[in-house]
Amino acid sequence: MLFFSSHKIWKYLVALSLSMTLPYSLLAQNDEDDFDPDAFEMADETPLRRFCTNKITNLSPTRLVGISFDYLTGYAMSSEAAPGLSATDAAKYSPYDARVNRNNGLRLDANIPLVSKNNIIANLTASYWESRYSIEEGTVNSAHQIALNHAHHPLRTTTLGTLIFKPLDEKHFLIFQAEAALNGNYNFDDIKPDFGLMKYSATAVYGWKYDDNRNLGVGITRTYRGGSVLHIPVLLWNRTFNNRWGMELLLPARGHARYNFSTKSMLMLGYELEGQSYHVQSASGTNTTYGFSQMELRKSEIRARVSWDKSLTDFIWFNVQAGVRPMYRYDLAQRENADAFISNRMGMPLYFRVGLNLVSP
Amino acid sequence: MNISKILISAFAVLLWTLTPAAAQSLDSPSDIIVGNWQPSNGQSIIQIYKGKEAAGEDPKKLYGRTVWLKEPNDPDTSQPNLDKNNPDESKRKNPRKGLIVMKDVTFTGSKDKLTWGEGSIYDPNNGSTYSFEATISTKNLNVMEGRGYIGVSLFGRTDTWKRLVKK
Repeated sequence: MLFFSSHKIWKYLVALSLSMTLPYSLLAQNDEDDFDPDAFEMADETPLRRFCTNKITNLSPTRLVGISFDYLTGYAMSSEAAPGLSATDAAKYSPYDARVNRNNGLRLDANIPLVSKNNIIANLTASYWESRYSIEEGTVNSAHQIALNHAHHPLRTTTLGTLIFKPLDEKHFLIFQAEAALNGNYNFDDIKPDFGLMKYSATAVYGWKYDDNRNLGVGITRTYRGGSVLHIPVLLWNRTFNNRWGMELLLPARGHARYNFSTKSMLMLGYELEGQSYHVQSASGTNTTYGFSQMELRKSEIRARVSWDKSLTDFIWFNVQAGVRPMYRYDLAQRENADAFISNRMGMPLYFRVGLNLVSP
Repeated sequence: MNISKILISAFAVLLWTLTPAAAQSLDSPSDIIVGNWQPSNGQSIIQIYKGKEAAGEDPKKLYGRTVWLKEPNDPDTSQPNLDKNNPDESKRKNPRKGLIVMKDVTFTGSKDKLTWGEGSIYDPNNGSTYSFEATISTKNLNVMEGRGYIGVSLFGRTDTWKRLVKK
């Protein structure tokens, strides 16, 4: 017979097929010296889009949770009638000086990832900042009412927002940030916060990631960093020049040159513009401030600084900052969008900040 | 048994064995993750394997080793890339190719839910080690969602890896 029996054919084919069922794990477990990428291909045609990340090499770490203590040394606080007032109105607000012995407060920041995948990162942001003024009332003229208000009631900022990084492909990305802020001298006791006067800010950026060492973005922001609402363009530029030097800019909010001692330790030299619009109230049952039970404080300051970040563990970093604080604006107005009636000139104290941060992978 | 039935049966068996995922059937789900995988950035290929006792590894756990780098050499030195950011100074001269980057991963799921975890993954770009968990869909065994995180899974990042097979 030229042909095997059907039974023998069947046994032969089954044996042949079973011999091909060697687990792919065994086939894959070549020594790495034997690994030839040209001999391999994707297991199937499932499309897998590639996306850029929000980081470049040696970038300062993204802070997930942070706690810090901010301290400013003493400075003078001089109030006077705001420029542009009529002579009659200006006469109501004589210049007065006060001495702030120190200005300090706790800062809590959170940037919690709700979604963190290679095609989108969406974070919930929240913060709580205090600014306490140490002012000796006995040294302050009773007409310098904003200083007296600060002596009793620290300024507080509480924010809640979102930050989204959306890569479009390997080279392009979007950043969107939005935030609601409750700013004032509230204490939930004799000064209650007015949620109807919350301030809303947002930023949108379109960016390009050229390679692992640089990205660039342009956009627009609604911000209170100048003390009152502004709608202005923004520029994002992160660049790593070599293993040591880099730049991190998000103008006009902040800009730093970066020196990397290592991937776990870096020095930053630059500035940050901090500002908010505050709802300042007089406590119930107390004297009004300049005849008003409430007013708007427009505060904007520059923190020119040297900042050092050092990894204590893989994900807990220590930060210390030192610098000076020139004040850009410290004006009082009766309400939002009204002209200021008092301007304050502040001295330029030294400032220090120390903190611990849990940073992102 | 007539010849047509033999051929049909043989064809069916052959077709089944040529399907990569079938070689790691859901009867042994813990081994499905074993193989060669490429992260979404395409910069490397990681070979996931069962621990080798001779190498001091736990044969009941899974490990991952870098077997290929898109950029094998340091552009500054033209020499093979080294693990220069390793927090252990004694390991900074180790080449990145061949580096064990995944350790002690175990199967934490079931036949219907393919998950692995309780291990760690090391990023030589910054010298940091993260907790690691992975998920493979039963609908497509060639795509893995790998997540590195710190402390709790919330503080992490997910990346999609694709399986490679021999041509």
